[in-house]
Amino acid sequence: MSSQAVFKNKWLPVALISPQLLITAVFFLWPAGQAIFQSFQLEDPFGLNHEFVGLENFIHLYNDSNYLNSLFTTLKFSISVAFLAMISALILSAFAEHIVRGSMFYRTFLIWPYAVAPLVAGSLWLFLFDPTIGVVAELLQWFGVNWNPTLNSAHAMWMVIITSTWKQISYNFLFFLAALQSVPKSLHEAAAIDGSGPVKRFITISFPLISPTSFFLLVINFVYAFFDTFGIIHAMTQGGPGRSTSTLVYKVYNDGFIGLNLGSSAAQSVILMIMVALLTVFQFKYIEKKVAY
Amino acid sequence: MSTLTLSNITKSYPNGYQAVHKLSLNIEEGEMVVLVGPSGCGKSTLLRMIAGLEEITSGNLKIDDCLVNNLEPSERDIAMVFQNYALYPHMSVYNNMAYGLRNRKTPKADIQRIVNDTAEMLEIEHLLERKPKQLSGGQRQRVAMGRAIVRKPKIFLFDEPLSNLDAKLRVQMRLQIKKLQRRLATTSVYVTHDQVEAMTLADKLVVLNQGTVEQVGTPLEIYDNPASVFVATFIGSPAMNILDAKVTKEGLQLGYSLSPIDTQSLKPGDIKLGLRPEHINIVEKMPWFEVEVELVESLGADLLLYCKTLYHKTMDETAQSLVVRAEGHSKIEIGDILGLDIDQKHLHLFDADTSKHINIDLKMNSKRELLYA
Repeated sequence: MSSQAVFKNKWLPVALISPQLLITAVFFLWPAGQAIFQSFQLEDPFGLNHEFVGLENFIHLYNDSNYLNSLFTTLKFSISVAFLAMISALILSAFAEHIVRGSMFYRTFLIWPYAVAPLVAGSLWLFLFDPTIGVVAELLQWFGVNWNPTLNSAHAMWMVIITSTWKQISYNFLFFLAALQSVPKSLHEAAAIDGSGPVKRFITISFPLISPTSFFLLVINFVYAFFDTFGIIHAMTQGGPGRSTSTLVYKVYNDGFIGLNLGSSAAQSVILMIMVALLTVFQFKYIEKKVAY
Repeated sequence: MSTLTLSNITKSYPNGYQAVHKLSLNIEEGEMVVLVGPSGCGKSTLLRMIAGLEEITSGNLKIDDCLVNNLEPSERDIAMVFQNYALYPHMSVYNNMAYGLRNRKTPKADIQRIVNDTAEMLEIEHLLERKPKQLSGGQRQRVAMGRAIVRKPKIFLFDEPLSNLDAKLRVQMRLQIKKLQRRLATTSVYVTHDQVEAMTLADKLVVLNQGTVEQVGTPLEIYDNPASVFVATFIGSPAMNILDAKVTKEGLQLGYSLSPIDTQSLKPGDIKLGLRPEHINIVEKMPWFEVEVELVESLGADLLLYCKTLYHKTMDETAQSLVVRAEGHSKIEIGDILGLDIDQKHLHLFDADTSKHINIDLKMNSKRELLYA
């Protein structure tokens, strides 16, 4: 038995999906097509002339040390964010699972950061990290750190990593908590009788059993760190100091809209598009099957 | 080989509900004790308290004269077989069985030997590399047993381990558990709500009701001498018939029928009679009372007759229902009127108010012959 509905009138299904198709066409297919078209063009900054240059934009990028640096920055940033956000969320959810009293309060507050817009999150943490008025900066200085994210590129990097992590923990927390709660209680009891303590139980029983969720979150977190942190970076560092926090996505914006090198910017976004496509394929291929046990 | 002593064990929850109330029980070395009772009687809670999975509110729990109330489950040296088996789904059968040994830092070579020997004993040696998902219900059950056995614990705990199996497999596994327990001679506590399982497995049967012990004894003792109406109706299948009757000077009055039993030692008034379906005789002559057959169930070897007693409408009585077991090929049909009698040694008397068993030797009134003359 198929669960699919069968329509007698063949225009009804078309009418029903057309709003979605229209949105996809206007906001994705058309701009994506434009980007692909642009990536093969060389255009003057005023948009008056353009000529076809083939793969020249891509070849330039391949030889551009700035682009490779940005790729390296992005990887450093994404791995840190994904790792920190997942580890923190896992620890928080492991504790939250055992909380009986006030669990609603605890969970609700943990979920809040997810509802904060990236730009707002960026501004908020920028205040906290401000070397002159920031609370966190004050604390760091008290510990003897000469905190200055506007000049020190390592400081700037840590600042955007922590802010991006903070925003993503909520999302991971929700998924980890749901996964941990679906591990049958009797398995923990059996393991307790088998002589394994709470920490060992978490490592040998819970963690392997939530591996499908962990794997799913790993992909999601990478996508987040790659593509959804533009607002945070823009609000906090604008890719600086130097180009130390300029991720690939930020560079697309910077080269295209600030540097007005539209061809190169388009070529960069095409590369990002391919990356997203690959991540999606990867996700469908492995996650849909679930990590087997 | 260990003993287990429970004294005044109580479990109460913050909302005031008492699951187990001042329960005391001695379990001897190598004994198979079965806790049986209806759902909600506290038997699983009691088992989980022995395992250390539930806190004991008050009372003492001793294993080999050592107080274990506050010990972690792992420190009590017990093993438990769960109702849903609780096998670790991400580990192979081998690793499932080896997990407890590894936690106890057993040398690797020993682990291998012990697991292989146990697997051979349970006939699961060909399954060692498989994951629990790839096993049938019976195989999972045996792996769960294996996981308990490998550690050579002081005490085995079984929490309704057969209730997820189909009827045929349940009988097989029941026999296997019995054989295994005999062979290993490990003290065991087995929880079930199935009275057939309880009867067949137990060295000592403990009938629980509402968090207290109703009766302790061997299965036959409990079958022959149930301490209360509760035990009487719970043990035995089909259940014992309980009928309301009256004690008069002449004998036991059931409806308009009088049984010429010597009632001198009984106080006159209401009483409850207990008659097992298998002890009721269908008689042609001189019945004690008569019934009408309402429904006939054939089990092949036996016939179960669902009957109601005949009564006089004028005497402010109501019909009472009862079950009678007859020989499988008896020619009895719905609507038949049967005369019934019971050997007085099989007749149980219960107090009408307390439902407790009344222990007296019933003697036939010498006037019996006269009565029917």
